[in-house]
Amino acid sequence: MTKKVHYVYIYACLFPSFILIGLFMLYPALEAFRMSFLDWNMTNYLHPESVGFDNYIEVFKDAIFRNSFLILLVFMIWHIIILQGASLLGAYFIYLLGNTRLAGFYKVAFTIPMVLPGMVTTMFWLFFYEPNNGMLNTVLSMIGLEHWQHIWLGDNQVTAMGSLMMKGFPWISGLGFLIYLAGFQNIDESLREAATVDGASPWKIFWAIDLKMVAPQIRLTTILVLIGGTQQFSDQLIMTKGGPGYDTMVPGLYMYNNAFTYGKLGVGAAIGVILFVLTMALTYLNLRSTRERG
Amino acid sequence: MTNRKGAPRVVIVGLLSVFLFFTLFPMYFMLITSFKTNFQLSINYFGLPTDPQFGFMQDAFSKVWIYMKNTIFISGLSVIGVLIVSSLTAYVFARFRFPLKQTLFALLLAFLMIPGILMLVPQFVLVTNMGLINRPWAAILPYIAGGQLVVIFVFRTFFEEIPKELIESIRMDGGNELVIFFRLVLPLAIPIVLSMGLVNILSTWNDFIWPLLVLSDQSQTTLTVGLYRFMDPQQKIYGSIFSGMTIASIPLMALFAFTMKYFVQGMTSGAVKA
Repeated sequence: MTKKVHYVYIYACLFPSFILIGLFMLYPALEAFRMSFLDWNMTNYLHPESVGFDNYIEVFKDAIFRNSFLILLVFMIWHIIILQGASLLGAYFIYLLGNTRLAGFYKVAFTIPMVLPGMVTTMFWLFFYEPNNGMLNTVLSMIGLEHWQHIWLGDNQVTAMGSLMMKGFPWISGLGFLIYLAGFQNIDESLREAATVDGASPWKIFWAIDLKMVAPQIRLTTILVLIGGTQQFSDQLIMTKGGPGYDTMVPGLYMYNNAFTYGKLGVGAAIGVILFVLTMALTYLNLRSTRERG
Repeated sequence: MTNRKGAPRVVIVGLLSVFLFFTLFPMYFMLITSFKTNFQLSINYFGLPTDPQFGFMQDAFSKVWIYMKNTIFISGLSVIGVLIVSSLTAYVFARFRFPLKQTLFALLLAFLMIPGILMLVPQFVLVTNMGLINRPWAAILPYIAGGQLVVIFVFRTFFEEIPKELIESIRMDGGNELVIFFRLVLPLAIPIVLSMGLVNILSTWNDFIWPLLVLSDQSQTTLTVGLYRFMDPQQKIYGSIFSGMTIASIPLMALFAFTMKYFVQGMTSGAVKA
């Protein structure tokens, strides 16, 4: 009898968490699959019709949707190699400074922009690329390179993609930076000392010891980028609306437009399911490769 | 104190300083441009304002204040909710055995991995059907539901590491579960509670897509959406725009200035556990 009362308390403690998960996570997740088989839009909002796989067929027939995965791929590769590389490099330099006041200063200074609201940073970059008074075109005209000026976010695919990719330069400040720095600072000093005694060059030490030791952190940030990156579309929504034309359209924005601009809720749900499958596949591949390597 | 031989120290410090300059430059520019008219900006683009205009700050503050109030309310209630709900759940998972424990925890883990984009459209329909559109709860409830997952995970690990002997000694002295929780566990957990709370505040404060969808009303919307609309496409008054950006940055800056250490801990521990 006392045991039963015990369980009542336990489930009472769990109740708030799980009622919220049930209502706002589990139910919508299941609904997503059901909705993806419905023709459901603003004209038949109260009476959606079942249409089988039509929504999936519709989006895969659309060249804009298929192409959006290529664009996403370019962004993701850039993100994983350049953005993560920059934060790795920044963290490594700070690590090389050792346990000094200067290192502590740099760590804090590079962390500060992380607490700026993301929208503020994005608005700065929007201004940076603005055609008339934007910083990039202003600097170009100051140094006499007017003919290099562009409507950066609107001229063509190269300038628009390039502008989005350069946003946030030099890309050190961020979660990856903190993770790498923590990883480097956990390296066992005796390993490096032994290597130095053996006459290994700094370059060799970096590749053979330091980089190897933060491999788990690199794998972690890669997973985070893969999972976060497939879903990310607010930069595109705010800065280019997927344009010019559909030149910077990513799958997430395509979903947003279908569901919330054109009101095609069924199609939106189907794209959500596709992105879910893609993310899960990427996560699975990543976990498997991790396990194989040991 | 360690001195690591590698590239010459001067080179490293030099490169870091250049990177840091570019990293912090947007903040400098934002601040100085907040005090310039469009004309002053055009003739003195990068320099400090010679005749600072304080009117833009006043003007921007009167516009931004309502968004800031909404955001403080939403982020504040969300973080309080997340911390209460997660500490209860995590404590129960860490301390007790009960039927369905593994299943329930697996459910938590599953939703840590399931991408939010799968649920975006159905969540929107759900919140609409619940009649919550343009009410703060449309953001707060889903924020608590989603935000608690990683916090439960981190808290559970922390609670499990509290030595059993400590708990037993309180029990010997006649303390019940409530005494154990409030007198022993919670005081020990203050740093981690602070860390996870700060990270949670940052993420709800920064969220853009969800408030854009469910809090579209001018009087209900959040700072991110309000700022986004601030970029009046017709006639841009830069002093006003940058003042709005500066004001929007102040609350978090002030909060994190004193809690940076906990924030950094929270960011890394949350990520490593996820």
